[in-house]
Amino acid sequence: MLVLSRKTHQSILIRGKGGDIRVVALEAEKGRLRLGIEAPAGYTIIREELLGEIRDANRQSALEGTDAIRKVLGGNDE
Amino acid sequence: MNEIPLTGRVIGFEESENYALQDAFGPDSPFRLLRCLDTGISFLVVNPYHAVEEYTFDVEDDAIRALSLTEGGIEHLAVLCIARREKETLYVNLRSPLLVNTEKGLFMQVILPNEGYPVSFPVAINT
Repeated sequence: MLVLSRKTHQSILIRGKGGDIRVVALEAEKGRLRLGIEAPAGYTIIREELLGEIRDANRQSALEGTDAIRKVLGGNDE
Repeated sequence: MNEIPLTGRVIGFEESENYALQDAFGPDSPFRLLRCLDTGISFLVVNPYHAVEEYTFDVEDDAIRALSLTEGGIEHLAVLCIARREKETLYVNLRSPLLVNTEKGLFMQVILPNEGYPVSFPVAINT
C-alpha cells in the first residue's frame, strides 16, 4: 500500500486511462478524516463496509433447500 | 409457471452466473424467485415499488453496456430487489438492486451511491 501524507485541502491524483480520480483531504479531527473524491463516470464511490453489508444481506437472503423456498412461497399466499 | 433464464452475478455469490427468474407467486405478484441453477439456492426478489412509492436512480452507462441495453431496448429493463423474510417482516435491499435485461436474459447487481436507500428496508407483511 502506498502511504502519503497530505495537509488539509491538498489532494492526490490517481491517474488512469479512463481519467483521473482526485482525492482531497478536507478535514482531520478527532480520529475522523473527511475526504472529497472526484471520479470519472463509471466509478461508484462507496464505503468499503457497505460492500460487506450487501454481501452479508445477500447471504442471509439465500434460500437453501425446498423447505426454505416453500416457507417463503406459502407465507405470501393472500 | 413462467421462467426466464438469466446470466449474471449476485454480490457474494460471484462463482455462480446461471439463474432462472420464476414467477413462482403468479404473474400478478410483485414477488419473483431468482433461482441459481449452479448451486440450487434461490433468492426472493421483489419489485421495489412494493416497498417504497418512489424509487429513482441513475443507471450508469457501464451498466447499460454490460446489460446490452440499446436505446430502444430500455423498455426491457426491469428492476428487482433481493428480499429476506423474518417472521412478519420483509427486509428489502434497496441499496443494491438487480438490473435485468429481460429480453437478452442478463442481469447485474449494482450499488447505488444514494445513502438514503438502506440495505435492509423493513416492510410489514400483510398490512
